[in-house]
Amino acid sequence: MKKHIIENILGGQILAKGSFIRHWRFILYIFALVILYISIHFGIRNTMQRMIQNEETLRNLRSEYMGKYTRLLYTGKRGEIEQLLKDNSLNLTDPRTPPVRVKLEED
Amino acid sequence: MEDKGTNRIFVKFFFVYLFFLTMGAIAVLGIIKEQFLTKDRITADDIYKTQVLEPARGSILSWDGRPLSVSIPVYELRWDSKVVADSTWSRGLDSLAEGLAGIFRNKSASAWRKELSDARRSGNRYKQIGRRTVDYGELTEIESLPIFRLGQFEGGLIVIKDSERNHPYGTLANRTIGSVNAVGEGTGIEYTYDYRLRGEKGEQTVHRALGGEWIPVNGAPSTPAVDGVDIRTTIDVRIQEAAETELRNQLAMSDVFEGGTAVVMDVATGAVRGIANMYKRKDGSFDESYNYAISHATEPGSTLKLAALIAMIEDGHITLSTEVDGGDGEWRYGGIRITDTHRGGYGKMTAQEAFEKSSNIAFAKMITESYGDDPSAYISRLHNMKLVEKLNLDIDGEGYAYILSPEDANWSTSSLASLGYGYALSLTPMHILTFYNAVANGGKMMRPYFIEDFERDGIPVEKFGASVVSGSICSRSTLAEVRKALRGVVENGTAKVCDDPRYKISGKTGTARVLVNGSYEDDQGYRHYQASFAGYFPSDSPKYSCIVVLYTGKTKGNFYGATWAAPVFKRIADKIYTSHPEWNPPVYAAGMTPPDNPSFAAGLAGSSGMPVDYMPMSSRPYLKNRGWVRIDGGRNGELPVVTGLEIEKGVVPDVSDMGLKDALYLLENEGYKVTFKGSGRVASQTPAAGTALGQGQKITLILE
Repeated sequence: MKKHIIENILGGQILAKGSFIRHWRFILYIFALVILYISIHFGIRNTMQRMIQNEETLRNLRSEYMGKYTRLLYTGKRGEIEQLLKDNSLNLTDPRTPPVRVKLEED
Repeated sequence: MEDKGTNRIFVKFFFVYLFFLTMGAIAVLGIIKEQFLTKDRITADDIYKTQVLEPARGSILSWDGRPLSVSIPVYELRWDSKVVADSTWSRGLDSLAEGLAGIFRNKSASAWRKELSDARRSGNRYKQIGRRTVDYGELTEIESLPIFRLGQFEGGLIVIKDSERNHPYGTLANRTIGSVNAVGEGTGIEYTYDYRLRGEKGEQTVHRALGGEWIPVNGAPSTPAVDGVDIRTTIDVRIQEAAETELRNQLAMSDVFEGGTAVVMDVATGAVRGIANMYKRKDGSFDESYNYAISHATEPGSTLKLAALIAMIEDGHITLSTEVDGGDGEWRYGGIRITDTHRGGYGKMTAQEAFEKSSNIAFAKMITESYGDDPSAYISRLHNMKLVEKLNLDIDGEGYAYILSPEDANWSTSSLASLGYGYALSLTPMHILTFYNAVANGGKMMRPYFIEDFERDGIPVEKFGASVVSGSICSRSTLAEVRKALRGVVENGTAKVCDDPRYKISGKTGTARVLVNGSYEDDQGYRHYQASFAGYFPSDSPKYSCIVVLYTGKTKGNFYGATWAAPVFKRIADKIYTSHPEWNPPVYAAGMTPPDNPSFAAGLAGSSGMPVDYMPMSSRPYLKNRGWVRIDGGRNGELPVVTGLEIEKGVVPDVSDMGLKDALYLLENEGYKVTFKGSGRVASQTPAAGTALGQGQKITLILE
């Protein structure tokens, strides 16, 4: 008797008779749910990893922008421009009159 | 037969079962060993941990939103020379050296080649690449260079990330921006507002995923980090640069100077648009290590004659045409010798001329004659004008202003005379500028300030801005007189160097000897000077006020405000004048009409029909709750006059200079029927204002 039970389990005969056969649809349903659960779990984890990577990329892009912007600001200083003009022997001098706004259309 | 087959299957499965059982037992034993027998066992901390979320430190911005101080990630580069294969090395060295020379720009490709080869020869495994950190843009370029592009384990490039406070404009406004060190000590805005800039740390629970990344645990409690606020200052980068450049250039002209300061203020609001402080270092160069402008309280000298002049005119003791005798250039009073710089003295002159020539004797005589009987009246007047008011600046380090008074133990007979020309009191440059700014601002004294607001993503979350110290430091008539005198200093007096046909400057020079160890001159005849110029421009409609003060070390020479400080003021003013479009009206394209900008206007105060913003006035009148008013904008820099309109039942009100909307509103509410012709503002009305007229009667308006 005991030998038969082990044979049934190890040989897989247990799946071919009794309650397993009667509830095979439900077992399949549970199995599908388990697969779904695992898929969703991995999906979420991948999304979270992508989010972290994107945030890092965003931080890096912001860093790159700030680095370039700050270098541009420094180059745009009046003193720096005057030095560049001097270095390049351009005969441009300080203006004597203030700039004037030209209005092209009503505000 | 069947039994034999079954037995065979059974035996096979038994061995499979035994195999898995053994593997399971090994696994369980391994777990037991890791958990209980080894020291470095895996704990929950290796899989779960609490991660601190660092907030981003807020930026410090100029008044127009340009960054003055920002936190940016930087990268330190190191190189492990031993991991690079010989073939890779010989193939990529030249290109790598070329690339590094192009990015760092501080040495040639051959120098880079030698440096890298030396490091490799000596087996350096942590060679620093470049003598500075690089930003992300530079890092991506470096990471794409030959050899380095192979990564840490084949190319040897080691990248260490850090965060650094970057000042895009270099040392510009260095003292005002300030800094804060790791233990929380520092200077300037970085230090004063560190508690708002640094933000608040957050935390979250994370777990290690299969790939090794740490990801947040779903549903675990977490506190997000709150980034620090951005602080928008009042600093105008162009004005700040002008002040720093011109001050530095002037100080470089003589070895005697120990330091100096230049401050530019927006007249209407008191916003500090530029503030430069230069302090001489041991190597002879200048840096911003000391804030003269707000901290250094000294005897100001002749710039204070403005306060004396206002007090004497306001109290009715003198007018600008009152005659005073400057004598032969020397006068003794109360045991002290008072002198003028002009050899032989100025002789007889008017009070205005005395101010223009900055005669110490004339001012000592006038002040002692005016207040000799009651010196406290003069002291009270100075206090009433808020000259020594604590300014409650929004950055730390404000110096203490002080006036000697008759109650003080060291008051003497000569103290009153000394007060007349700027001694016996102690003021910071910021106090003096605040006072001059009040004169430029129609008598209204504004508190100097450096912070406009706190912002998040460009949206203000806390506003500061302008605040009034005194609504009026003196009467309008006195103000008009002293403004004439200040202009006279530039036209005819000691500050002719500031006279310019393009725009008008008003101001006053000051030269003061500095008290060192209780004496104005040491035994060998050495003196310390403070040369200054304070004023505003354009004179007719002041937009900016400015003070320049230069401090000398010990010298036997003379350092006058007129020759040393006034030229700096002029050059700063020139740069502001030539770089701002606000001095001239805009040019309108063909077909466009300029806005209505009358000198006179009337209407309901605050209504859209009142073109107050377009009126050419030296200052904007305060109109809140004034009802129906008439405004005379003034001519040639005179102050605008606001008169309330009397509305009486059954009497035609005066609607001249009103816009049509205001005129209709007023007349129809009074029960009249109105017809009109033309467009613009009301030029005439029939019947005339003041005529008795019953309700329902007709009034005709002519608009021009």
